[in-house]
Amino acid sequence: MTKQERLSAVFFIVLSIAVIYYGVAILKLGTVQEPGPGFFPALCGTGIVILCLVWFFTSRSSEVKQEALWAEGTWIAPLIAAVLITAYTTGLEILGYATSTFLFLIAWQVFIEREKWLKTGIIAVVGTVVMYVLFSSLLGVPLPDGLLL
Amino acid sequence: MDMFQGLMSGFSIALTGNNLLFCFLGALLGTAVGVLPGLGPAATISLLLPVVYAMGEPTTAIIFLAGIYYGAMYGGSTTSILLRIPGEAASVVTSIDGYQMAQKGKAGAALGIAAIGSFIAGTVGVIGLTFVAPPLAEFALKFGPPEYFALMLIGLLLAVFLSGGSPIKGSIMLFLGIMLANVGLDPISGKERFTFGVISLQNGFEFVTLAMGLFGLSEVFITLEQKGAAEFVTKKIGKLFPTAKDWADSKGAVLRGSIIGFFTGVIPGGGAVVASLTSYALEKRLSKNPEEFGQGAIAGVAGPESANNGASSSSFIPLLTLGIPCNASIAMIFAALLVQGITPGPFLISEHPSVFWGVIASMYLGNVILLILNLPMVGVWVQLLKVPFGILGPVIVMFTVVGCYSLNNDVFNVYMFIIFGIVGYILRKLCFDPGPMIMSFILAPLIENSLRQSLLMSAGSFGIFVSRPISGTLMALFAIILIGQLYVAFKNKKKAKCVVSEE
Repeated sequence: MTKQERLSAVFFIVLSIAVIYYGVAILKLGTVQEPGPGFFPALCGTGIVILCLVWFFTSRSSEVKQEALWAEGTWIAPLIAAVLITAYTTGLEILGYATSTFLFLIAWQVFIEREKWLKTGIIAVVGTVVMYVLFSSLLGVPLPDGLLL
Repeated sequence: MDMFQGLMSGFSIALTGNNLLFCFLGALLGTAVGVLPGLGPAATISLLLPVVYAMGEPTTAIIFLAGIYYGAMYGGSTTSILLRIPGEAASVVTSIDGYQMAQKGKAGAALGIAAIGSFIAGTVGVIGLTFVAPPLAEFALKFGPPEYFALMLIGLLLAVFLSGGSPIKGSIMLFLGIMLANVGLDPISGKERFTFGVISLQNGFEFVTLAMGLFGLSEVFITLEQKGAAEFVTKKIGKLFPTAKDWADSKGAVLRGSIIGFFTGVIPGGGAVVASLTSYALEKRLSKNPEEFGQGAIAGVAGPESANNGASSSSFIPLLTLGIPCNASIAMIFAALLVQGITPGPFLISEHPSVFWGVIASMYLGNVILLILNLPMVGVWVQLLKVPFGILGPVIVMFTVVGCYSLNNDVFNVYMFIIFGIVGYILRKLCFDPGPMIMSFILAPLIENSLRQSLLMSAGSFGIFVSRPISGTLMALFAIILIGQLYVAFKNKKKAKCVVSEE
C-alpha cells in the first residue's frame, strides 16, 4: 500500500460515513420488507467502509511505500488542460461558441503545445471554422450563444 | 421466427443503405481508434454517445457502436506489431512477438495473420452468437427479480476479479458506481437523494457525462502526461499474405484462439484482454518450440489476435439475452439502447427483432469490411499515427464539451464532465479501474429494483434468493466464485498488477 493509497482509503471511509449518515438520518432506511430510499446508499457506504478496513489490515504497515504519483512535472500539462477546459466551458455562455473555441484553441497551442504563433493561429482559425460548420450546419447541434458568435 | 428466418431478416435490415454505411463507418472509426494509442474503444464510444442519441434509429445506432467496438480490436494489432505500442489493452501480448517479427522483416506476415485470424475468430464468434443467443434469451424468460439480482451479483463479482487489477480496489469502484447512481429521485418513494437542492441533479448524473469524463477526458489527461513517449517509426512492412509455413504454424492457434475468445467473451469481466492473455499462455505451453515465444513466434500473434476478436463478438451475448453488459464498452452500448427506448434483455428478441437480428447480421458484414479495411490499407493506418496530439487532444475535448452541452443545452453537464474527468484521472493514477464503476452505475437501478421487488415478494425474507431453483443455483455459484477467488488471493499474495481496462 502506498502513502497515496492510504490517503485514498481514508477519503473513501470519510465519504462513506457521510453517505451512511445521510442515508440513515435524512433519507431513512425503512424496513427489510419495505426498504426506504436510504437503504441502498447506506448499504454501499457500509460496503466501502468494510473494504477499506480490509485493505488497511491485509497490507501490513511495513509495506507502506513512498512512491511519487507523478514523475517530475508531468502533472503540469493535465492541470493546465483542466483549467483551460473549465475556462472554455465558462466562456461558452458568456462569449458564444465560436469565440470561446477560438480562444481555447489558441490557449491550448500556446500553453500546452508551446507552438509558434503562426501555427497556433492557423490551427485556431481552421479548427474553429471546421467545428462550427460541423456542429451547427452538418449535425444541427444547438450551440451556446453569447455576447459574440 | 426461427433462427434462419431471423438471420435472413437481419441481413435485409443490415444491408439497407444507411445501416451498411454506419456499419462501415463504425468499422472504419473503430480501426482508427484501435490504431491510435491512448484512445480505447470505451473512450470513443463514450465520446460518440451524444451523436448516437440524436440518430433516432436504434438499429443503426447500435450497428455503428458495435462496429467501433470490434473494429478497435482489429486495429489494435497494427501499432502493436509495427511500433510495439498497443493501441488498446487487448493487443498488449500481440506486441511481444508481433514486434519481434517486424524487426525480422516479417511485419507483413504478422499483420496478415492478425487480420485473417481476427476475421476467422470474429466470424466464429458471431456464428456462436447467432446460435446461442436465442435459446439463452428463451431460458432467461424464466427469470424473476431474485434471479436477476443473483445474476447481476455474479456479473459484477466476475468483472472485479477478472479485470486483473486489485479485487479490493475493483470492489470499491463497484460500490462507488452504485452510490453515484443513487443521486436523484428515488425510483420507488420519489424522494430526492443527494441532490442538495440542485435541480439539475434531480434526474441523477447523466451516464454520458460520467462515461465521457471517466474514460474520454481522463484519457486526454493521461496522454498529455506521457507525451513524447510515442515516436513515429517508419518501417518496411513486407509481404502481407502469410506463407504456407506461416499458415501451418498458426492455424491451430487461430482455431484455439477463436474458441477461447468465444467463451471468455461471454463471461462478465472476461472480455478481450483476458482472452488474449489466456490464448498466449496456452500457445506457449502447447508449442513444440516455446523458446521461440518472445522472439517472433507467429502463433504468439495469431492466437491472441484471434482470441480478442472472438471475445468482442461473444461479449454481445449477455447484453442481448440477459440485459447484462460484461465490460465498460458494452455498458455504453447498453446505455445507448436504453436512451433509444429499448431495454436489452430476454424480451429484446421478441419485442425488437429488427434490432437483435439487424445487429447480429451487421457483425457478419462488419468482419468482412474489417478484413478489407485492414489488409490492403495497413499503410494508411500507420500514417494516422502522424496526427499530433496537439490537434487530436483539443478535437476530443471540443467534441466532448459540445456532446455534454447538447444533453440539456446548459453548461451544468459540462462542469460535471470536467469533474468526472479529473476524478477518473486521479483514480487511474492510483490504479483504480473505472470499468467496474461504469458497469455498476448502469446496473444500479436494476440491482436496486430487483432487490427491493424480491424483498417485497418474500415479505422481507432473504431466503427467496436461495429457495428458488435458478436463483439458488446462481447464488451457490456466486459463493463458490467468491470463496475460490478469495482463497487464490490470500494464497498467492502477489501484488496485483496495475491494470486499467480499455474495453
